[in-house]
Amino acid sequence: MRILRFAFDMIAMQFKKFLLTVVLMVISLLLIMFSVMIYKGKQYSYISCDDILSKGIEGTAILRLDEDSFLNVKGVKAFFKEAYERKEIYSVGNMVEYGCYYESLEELYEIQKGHTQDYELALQGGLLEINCMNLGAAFLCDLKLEEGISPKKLEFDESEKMFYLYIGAAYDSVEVGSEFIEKNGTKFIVAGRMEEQQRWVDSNVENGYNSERLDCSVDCSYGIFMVGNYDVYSGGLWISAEDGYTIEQAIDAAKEVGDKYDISFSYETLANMYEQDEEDVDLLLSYLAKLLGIVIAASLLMIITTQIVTMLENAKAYGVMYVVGFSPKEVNKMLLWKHIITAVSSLVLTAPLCVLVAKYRFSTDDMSYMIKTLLIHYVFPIAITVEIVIVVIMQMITVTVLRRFTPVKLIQNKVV
Amino acid sequence: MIILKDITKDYTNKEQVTHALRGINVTIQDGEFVAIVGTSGSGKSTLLNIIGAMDYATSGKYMFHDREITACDLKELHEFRKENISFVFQNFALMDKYTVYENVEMPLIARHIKHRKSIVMDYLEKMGIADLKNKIPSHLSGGQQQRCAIARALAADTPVLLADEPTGALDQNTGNEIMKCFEEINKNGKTVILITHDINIANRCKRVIHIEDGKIID
Repeated sequence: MRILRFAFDMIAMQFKKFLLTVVLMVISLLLIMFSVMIYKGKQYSYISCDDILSKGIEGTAILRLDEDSFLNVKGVKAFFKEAYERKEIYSVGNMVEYGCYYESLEELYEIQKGHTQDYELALQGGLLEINCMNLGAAFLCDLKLEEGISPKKLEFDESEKMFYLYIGAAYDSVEVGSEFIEKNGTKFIVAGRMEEQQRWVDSNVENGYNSERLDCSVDCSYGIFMVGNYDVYSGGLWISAEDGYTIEQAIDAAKEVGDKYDISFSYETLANMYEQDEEDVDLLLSYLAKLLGIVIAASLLMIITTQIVTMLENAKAYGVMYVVGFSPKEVNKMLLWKHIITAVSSLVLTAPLCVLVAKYRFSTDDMSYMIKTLLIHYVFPIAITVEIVIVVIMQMITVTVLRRFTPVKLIQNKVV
Repeated sequence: MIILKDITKDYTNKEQVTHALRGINVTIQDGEFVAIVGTSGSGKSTLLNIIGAMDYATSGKYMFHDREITACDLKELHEFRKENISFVFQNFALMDKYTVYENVEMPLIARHIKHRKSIVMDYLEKMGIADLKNKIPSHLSGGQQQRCAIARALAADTPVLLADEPTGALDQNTGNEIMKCFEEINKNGKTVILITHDINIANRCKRVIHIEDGKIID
C-alpha cells in the first residue's frame, strides 16, 4: 500500500507528463483497436451472412427486375412458379419488411409493440412490423419451428387473400392454427411458431453486402413472417442454388425461365458483393497499417522520452527514497505501479471510446453481440497485450536509467 | 566502530583516472563527534559516501563492528545503510511536495513502522518545528528545512549520522543553531560524522580529520 501511495504521489508531482503519456497511449490504442475491429469485423460479417443463408454466400445472389418486368404481373407469377421447380434452383423469392395495420391482428400488435426493429415504425404506433414474402423466399434461410407446418406443405387458394403467418417465440399466447379474418375477407392463418433462437437474414443485405453490418442476421423473437402466393413488392429477388449446382448455374436457369415469360433482370452474386467490399476494406486496412506504423513509432518514442525526462526530473525524489531506507527493489516496484496506473488509465479512457467507434462503424441490431464477439473476444485482449508490452518497455527503460546513478548523484541532481 | 583500512577510490573517465582517495586509514569509535575538513576536491565527500555505503571503494577494507562492508553486494549494502546510517545533506534533500510531517515520516514508512504519529511528533518537537508540521519545505527558512532534515535522519533511529556540509547553505547564526543540534544528538550517544570546509564549524566537533588530495593529513 505504501509503495502504491508513493506511486500516486509521483504521478501527482508530474501530472502534466502523466496526462501526455496517457493521451499518447489512448491514440495508439484506439488506432490499434480500430484496425483490429475492421479486420475482425469483416470476418464476422462474412460468417454471420454465410451462416444465416441456407446456401451460404457462395450459393446466393440478388436478382433485380427491370421496370417493365416488374409490371408484368402474370409473367412474374409464372416465372416464380417455374423457376422454383428448376433443379438448379433451391429458392427464389421476394421479401420485404414493412409496417401495416390489420385490425384482426391487434393481438399480435400488442405483443410486438415496443420491440420493433424499425425506429420510425415504433414512432408511428399501431403498425405491425411484418416480413412479407412469397413462398420461394421462405427457404432462403433455415426456418426452425417449435411447432407448426413447414412452408413446403402450405396450400394456397387462387384468391391471393390468404396468408400464412410464422410468428416468433414471443407470441406464445397465440395458438398455432389460429385464424384471423379482416373485414375485407383477407385471412391470416398461424402456420407455425419459430424457435426461440430463430434468426433471419437482414433484408438490407438485398441492397448490398457491407462489412459494416457486423451481423447480417436479425432476431426473430418478435418477428412475424407473412407468407403468401403473390407477386413481388420490390424489385429485388433472392435466389439460391440447389446443392450440386453453382449460383451461376442457378442464375442461368432463372434466365431461361425469364426469357420464356418475358422477364428480364440484372443480377449480382453475394460473393461478388463480398469481394468488392473486401477490396474496399483491404484498401482501408492498408492505409491504416501505414498510419498505425507511423503513429505507434512516434508515440512509443514520445512515451519513452517522456518517461526518461520525468525520471530525471524526479531524480532527487528517488535519491531521497534510497537515502531514507527504501530498497532499489521497492523503488522499482513503485515505478512499476506508476506505469501500471498510467496503462490502466489509458485503457479505461480508450474502452468506451472504442465502443463508440464500433457503434459508429458497424450496424447491428444487438450491441451486446458486438461487444461480446468482437470487442471482448478480440479487441480488448489485444489492447491489454499492447498495454502490457508498453508497461514492460517503460519499466525496463526507467530502471536501467535509474541504475546508472548513485543515491548521492540523484539527490544532488547531478544526473544530466 | 568504523575502521577504514587502505581505502582507495578511483574514478575512470574514458582514459583519464582520478584518484579521489589514496590509501585512507581511519578508525572512528562509537559515539564520536568527528569533522572531516578539506578544500573542495580533497575527497571528503567521497570518503563520506564510502562510510555511508553509498559508493564502493576501489580497494581496501571497510569494517563496521567487525562486519566487512566492502564485501557486501548491493542488497546487503542497502540493508546495512538502512539499519546503521542516516544522512543530512547540504541542500536538505527534502521532498518538495510533502509536508514537514510527511518528510519526517518517510524513514518510518520505509521501515514498516506502524503507529508513526507519536514518533514523528516527538522528533519534530525535539527539533523545535512541531508547529511547522503542515508546511511544505518551500515555505520554510533554510534553518527550518535543515531541522526537518535532521528530524528525518533521527527518525531513522540509526547509530551513525552522516552530514554533508550541513551548514553550507546557511548563514552563520543558523549554522550555529544547527551545530547545537548535532552536539545534542552526539550527547545522546549517536556517532556523528560531518564534512565541512569551514574550520570554525569543524572545531566545534570533538575530533577533526584533515583530508587533502585524497590523503589524511595528521
